[in-house]
Amino acid sequence: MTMDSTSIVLITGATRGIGRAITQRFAREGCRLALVYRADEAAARETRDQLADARVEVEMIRADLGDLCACGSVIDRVVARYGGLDVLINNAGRTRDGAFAAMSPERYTGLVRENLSAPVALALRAAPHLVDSARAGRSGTVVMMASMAALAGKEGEVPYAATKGGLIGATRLLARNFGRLGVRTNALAPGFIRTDMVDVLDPHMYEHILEASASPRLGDPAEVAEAVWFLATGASSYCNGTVHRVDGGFLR
Amino acid sequence: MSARILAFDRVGTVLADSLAAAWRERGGCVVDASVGGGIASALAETTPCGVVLAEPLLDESGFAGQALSAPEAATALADAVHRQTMTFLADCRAAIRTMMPAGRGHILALCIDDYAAKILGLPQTPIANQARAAALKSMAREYGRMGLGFNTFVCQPPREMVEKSAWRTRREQLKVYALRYRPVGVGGYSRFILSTINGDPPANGSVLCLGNGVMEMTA
Repeated sequence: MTMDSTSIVLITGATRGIGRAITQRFAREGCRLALVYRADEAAARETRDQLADARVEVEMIRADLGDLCACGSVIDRVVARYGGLDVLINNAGRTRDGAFAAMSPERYTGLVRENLSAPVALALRAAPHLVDSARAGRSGTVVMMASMAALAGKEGEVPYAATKGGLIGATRLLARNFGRLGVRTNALAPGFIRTDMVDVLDPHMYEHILEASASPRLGDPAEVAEAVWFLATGASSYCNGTVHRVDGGFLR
Repeated sequence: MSARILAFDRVGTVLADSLAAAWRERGGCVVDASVGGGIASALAETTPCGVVLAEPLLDESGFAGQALSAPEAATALADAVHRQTMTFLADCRAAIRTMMPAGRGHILALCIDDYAAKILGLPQTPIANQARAAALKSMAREYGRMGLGFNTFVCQPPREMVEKSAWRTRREQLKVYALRYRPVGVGGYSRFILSTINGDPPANGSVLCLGNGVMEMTA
């Protein structure tokens, strides 16, 4: 269960923030990549060019994962290009902040679909290929990007927390149903990581994070990517259905 | 607000039904929103002291390993997860908006420990359980200061939920050793959960795991 230049890795939300760092981490090992992005063509082009310069094989896939039919198409495209799939990293996600009582369901139905339903659909559509990968002794792992909001709750982010909690549940469901077939599924719960999502925090909130953390700083996307690498590879071969926190000891 | 009215999204499940019966025994009134147009409609006509969201009934058995190669299984589960999450959030939002002006009220989400439920062949899914717990923790952070309480109760499958023989025939699969021999009766859960409504408990945003022996649920 090693990762090398023959490993096929699918990463959603791959061109920005944590997803970009994950892409770079797996590219460094020469893995064959399939990268899903939603709309940012410029970022996708830049990512593709960088990977081409590094001689990394990559399939860029533009897809709106809010449309569940697109999930099947994404998996089909990866398999058509590479002939299989070894690792699925369900990283894509977005927030919808606001007072929950004042938030109409129309404002978060897309969020629930993209953050929760789509990763579930992608994982299930990928499952037969991941089972094949596991049986061939290649890999067969899923990494779900959850959040500390799922574990500790977060005011102003009720629907987001619900979707990330659901991902933790999905991690358990997949681990139970596919663990015996050799596929491992684990989740990561990042805390405050230096990305676009966190850049908008006001200084007061930033101070609060530092004071509440055992490691008083924001995390770096590369630190999350390193944890994803751990969960995707044989280094974590006895981890299945778990949630790993990468949060600098927030609230400890 | 009426301190005697407890609203349920539905009372047709083992836990919710028992809770409703225990509430009535104490002289309270029960509103079953499933009879009308759901929680939002029910709360348009009354302001209860609490809203109970019955245990989710999403059957994961159809999504077991072998069946998952079917593309329709993926879409079916993903759709069901979306539908269930949206309904749960909408019910919670309606409850918050109704009880917030009164400055007090409880929202209780019931869940069945999904690992034991799977072994006993019950229709449960960890996705719904974990989504509920995370959502209520967040609501407690946001609305706890306004006097609203939000707690998730994760119960081992009550004794009455499966055939008596199942506790014997599936005993070896149950990891919780004590549960093999002494599953908790549903009345025990009801009494405890109701005490948290009446007693103004020092718990908000909590996931209270109930049962005999070590629970599986905590994240």
